[in-house]
Amino acid sequence: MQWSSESTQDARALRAPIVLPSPNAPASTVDAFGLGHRRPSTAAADAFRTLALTVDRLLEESDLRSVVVLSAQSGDGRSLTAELLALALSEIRPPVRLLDADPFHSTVKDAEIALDLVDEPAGGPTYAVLTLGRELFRNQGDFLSATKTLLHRANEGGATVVVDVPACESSSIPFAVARMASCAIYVARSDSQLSGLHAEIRAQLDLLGVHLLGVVFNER
Amino acid sequence: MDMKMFKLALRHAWPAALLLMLAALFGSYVYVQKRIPPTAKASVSVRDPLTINPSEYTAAQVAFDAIVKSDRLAENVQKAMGPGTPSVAGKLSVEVMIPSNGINISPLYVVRAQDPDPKRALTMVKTAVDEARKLYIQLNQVGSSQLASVDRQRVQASNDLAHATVALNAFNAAHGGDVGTQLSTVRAEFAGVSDHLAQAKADLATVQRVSGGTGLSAANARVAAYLTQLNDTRAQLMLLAALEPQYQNLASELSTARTSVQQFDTLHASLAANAAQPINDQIKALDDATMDSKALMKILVYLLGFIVGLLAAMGAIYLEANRLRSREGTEHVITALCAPTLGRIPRRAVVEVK
Repeated sequence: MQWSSESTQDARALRAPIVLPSPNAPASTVDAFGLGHRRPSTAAADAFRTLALTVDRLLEESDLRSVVVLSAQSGDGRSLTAELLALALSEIRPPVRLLDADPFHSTVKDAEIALDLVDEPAGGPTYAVLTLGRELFRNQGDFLSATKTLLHRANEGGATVVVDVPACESSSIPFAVARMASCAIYVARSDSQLSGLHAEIRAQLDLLGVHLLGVVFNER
Repeated sequence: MDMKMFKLALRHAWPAALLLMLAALFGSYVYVQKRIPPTAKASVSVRDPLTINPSEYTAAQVAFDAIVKSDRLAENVQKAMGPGTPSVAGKLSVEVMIPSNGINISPLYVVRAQDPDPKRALTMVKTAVDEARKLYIQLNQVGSSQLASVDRQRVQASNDLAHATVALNAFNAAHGGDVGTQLSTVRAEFAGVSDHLAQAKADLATVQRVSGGTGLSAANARVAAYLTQLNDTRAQLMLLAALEPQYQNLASELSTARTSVQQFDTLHASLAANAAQPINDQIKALDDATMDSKALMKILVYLLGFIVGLLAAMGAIYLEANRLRSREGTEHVITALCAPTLGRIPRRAVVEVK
């Protein structure tokens, strides 16, 4: 099955080694995530420190320390939220891995797939950006399998993983990844008028058994 | 925006809206003070010379409105108002009002003076009208030197006329009378003889064909006589035609000299009439200097300021309504998702690092 739909039949992907374009490459920094020469403002850093404390406390009850950042549409501020949350979490409970699991609109420009960092969190950096490039996978099934593998390895290494996924409206990947992770955060614009769409997404998440922690409003 | 939202936004944003309204009105006030200063005006009628003296019309050399706009008048007004008077340049203006009836073409000039001090504006416009009148008279009055100059040219033209007359008369006398008249007479005579000869030749041909010899000698004699007369007339005509260019030249010189004399006579009479007529009679002050209220203009400026302020206030209320609506939007999202609010991404979430 190709990228247009999910695949569950290709179980070999879980066992297959992940191709690393540059295994010895240094961990990507926040610059590589698309912010360039920008940093969180003081207000944003404070807001996300508070959010990180909340998320950290909620994750304490979970075995799998991973949180998926969801939103209804592209442009809602999902990637920014994922990145700022990962940075804030790395301050209070390192190591943290930010996983870019959006194969369609990846915001990562130069990040490398650095699975070895996940395997050795004690020796690795407190914060790293990981990406799953679409071109490395034959179909969506392989992509999801790789994502699952990354999540498990990162958790086995004691890292907290924040996952950025595509918009819920445009792909099934966010639902699949949310099911793998321990919980989810939903990002919505503060002037959003899509109550119906939000309700539908919530119903779908409930059916999948996803634990939705709460909503982050984007006021930009 | 519904009425409920409008009222809610108005309750929140009324200080900003009021501030914007006051700012706009204050802006209008500043504009009125700076751009619409007190203005005094006086109107002056400069009667057209055609109306004063229809038989001897000459237009003014320098128009009254041009004088009011001149720097020289500004300087004269400043001097006349005494030392310490600020520069008058640019403070005087004039509006020309042409009568609508089209018969009396004497225009009305409304002279205006702007100055922050109303009293000084009044003095300025009074002085400007007096000084403009003096300058107008000075520039347009016909002087004795002007008349003398025209007289000199008129005498010269008369002399030229006399010389041309003498030359033409002498030429005619030397050639037996007016050459032009002689030419006309001989040309007419030549044409008549030619016609007669043609008729005589036709008669001769008829006699030869019809009568077969009777009356032939008489017809021949008539043809011969006309031929002789035609040759004589041709010789006379050729003699006169040779004289014709010289005659035309002399006649043309005479005609030119006569026209020139007539023109100088007309100009002299016109100038003399203008000199005899005092030019200040042409200028009549119609309205004395008064303050020009410009109330309508000020009302319009304040009205414009009010409208701008109102629009700005409405804009502020609209923005506030949008802000309130976005707050309302978060409540919708929370209700739809049945999840608590974890946090907010502020408007300025990232900053540039150089």
